[in-house]
Amino acid sequence: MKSLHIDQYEYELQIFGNDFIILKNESCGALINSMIAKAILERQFDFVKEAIASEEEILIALKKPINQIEHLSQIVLEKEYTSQQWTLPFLLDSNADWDEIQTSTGLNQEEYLNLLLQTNLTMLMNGFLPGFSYLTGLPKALHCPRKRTPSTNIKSGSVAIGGPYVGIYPIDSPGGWNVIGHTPIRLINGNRMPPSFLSPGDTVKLKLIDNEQYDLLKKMDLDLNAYHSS
Amino acid sequence: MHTIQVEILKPGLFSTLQDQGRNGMAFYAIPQGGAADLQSHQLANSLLGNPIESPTIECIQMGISLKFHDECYFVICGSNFGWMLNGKSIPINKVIHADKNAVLSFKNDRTMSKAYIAFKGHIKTSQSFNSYSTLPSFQWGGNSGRQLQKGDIIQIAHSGQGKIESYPSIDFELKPKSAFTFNPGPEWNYLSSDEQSKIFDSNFKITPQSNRMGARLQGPELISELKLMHSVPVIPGMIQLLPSGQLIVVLEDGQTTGGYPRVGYIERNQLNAFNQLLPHQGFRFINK
Repeated sequence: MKSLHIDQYEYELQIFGNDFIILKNESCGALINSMIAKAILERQFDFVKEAIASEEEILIALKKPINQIEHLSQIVLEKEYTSQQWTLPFLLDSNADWDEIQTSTGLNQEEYLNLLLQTNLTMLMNGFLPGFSYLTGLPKALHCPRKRTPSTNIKSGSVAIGGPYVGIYPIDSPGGWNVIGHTPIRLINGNRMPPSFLSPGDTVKLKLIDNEQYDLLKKMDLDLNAYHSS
Repeated sequence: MHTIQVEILKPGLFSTLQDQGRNGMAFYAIPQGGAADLQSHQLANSLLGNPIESPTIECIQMGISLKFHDECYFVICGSNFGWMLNGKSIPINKVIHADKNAVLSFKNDRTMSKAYIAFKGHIKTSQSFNSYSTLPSFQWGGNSGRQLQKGDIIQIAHSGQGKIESYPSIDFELKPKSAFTFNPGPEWNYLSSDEQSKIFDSNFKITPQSNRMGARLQGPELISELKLMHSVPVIPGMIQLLPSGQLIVVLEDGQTTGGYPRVGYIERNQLNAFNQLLPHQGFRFINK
């Protein structure tokens, strides 16, 4: 099996014709994979069409046959990554999936919320839908498996728990995560590059708001940047 | 420079503006998008002398009716939906001249799944991430990110004053294909050799539940004991094994990550013909 060193990480290399390659590493984690995938895109190699990160691999879709794959080894991650710290307003939804949460975690709404609001979440990777971020850092006691049967319509702005992750739905969508509340802030903007405000490594803290604040913010229709500069 | 206006009279089933898609956005979980049959999209533009990046109208499974408020040259490639101009049949793969107030319509015919209409000049419309590819769920791309609807006006900037003297056409018939190469994907070995051989010994069909996100196939039930522990990246052409034992082919507007084993993939240059299959149409996979 061929392997490739990128920064200090060793990836197993799988080549699928002239179509795509997969760099596999089961231990370095989604955050490193995300940062390396981002760095690969930023280098603008002529053979790279797409670079997609996940927990255990990076997939590179090829624009043309790759001749010098070892060029990928030139990638070096910035040692001092300056992550941004974000606050995200959060309205509790008592009618949401709290039964599922209580059954799996044994914690009631108040207990769960107390722990959640203290947690510093870290943006790990993009995926599932544009603007959907996988946020990590939940204490183990707050993990809750995805639903066996996905909901057909989860509302845009829903904050939900899927296994060890927190995620925010950017549009109305079917989905299998347990909804706990809603945010009035938009996390993606189609007129801006990059379109997602959260970058891998950024931290997010949820801030509890009430119905009145939610309605006001919703009416203002702010994205995350605008909310932070207001 | 003058502007040609074309009005949508009947939008058909699912008609959108598409181009060659977005590049480098899958990292953000934004699908590539773009014409499902890139070859027909490019041919339509080429016959008119347009850059191949120019947007075209993609019609799926049914034609579209248009009224030309100004004189215009256009080309249709891909499926022949029984295209007519002012009630008279017109050929595909040929530059057609439409007079002011001419009406393009269609019959209920279809030879394939997708048609592409290109107009001489450049469609003036919205873009997202340097692409006109429409993604209605996020309202991104051309026509303010919406499907074309009755009453919408397409504005085309046209520089040439003079008439096109010759009307280029290409003697070319895109024939429906019924066999596609199945390339082993990252999780090909999740299938036993008996299950693997079922893929090459069976007939498959496109089901009506298919759309620009994915083609759901109906074929033999394939059993895999192995499951993925995490989501993995996917790109258009990737063939995933669903828990039901059926296969789905990820297409242009599909997700960029997924939780199902990627047992195979169809190469990009075969996806054009694959995307021309109609619902219920049968095909086979051939071994590489």
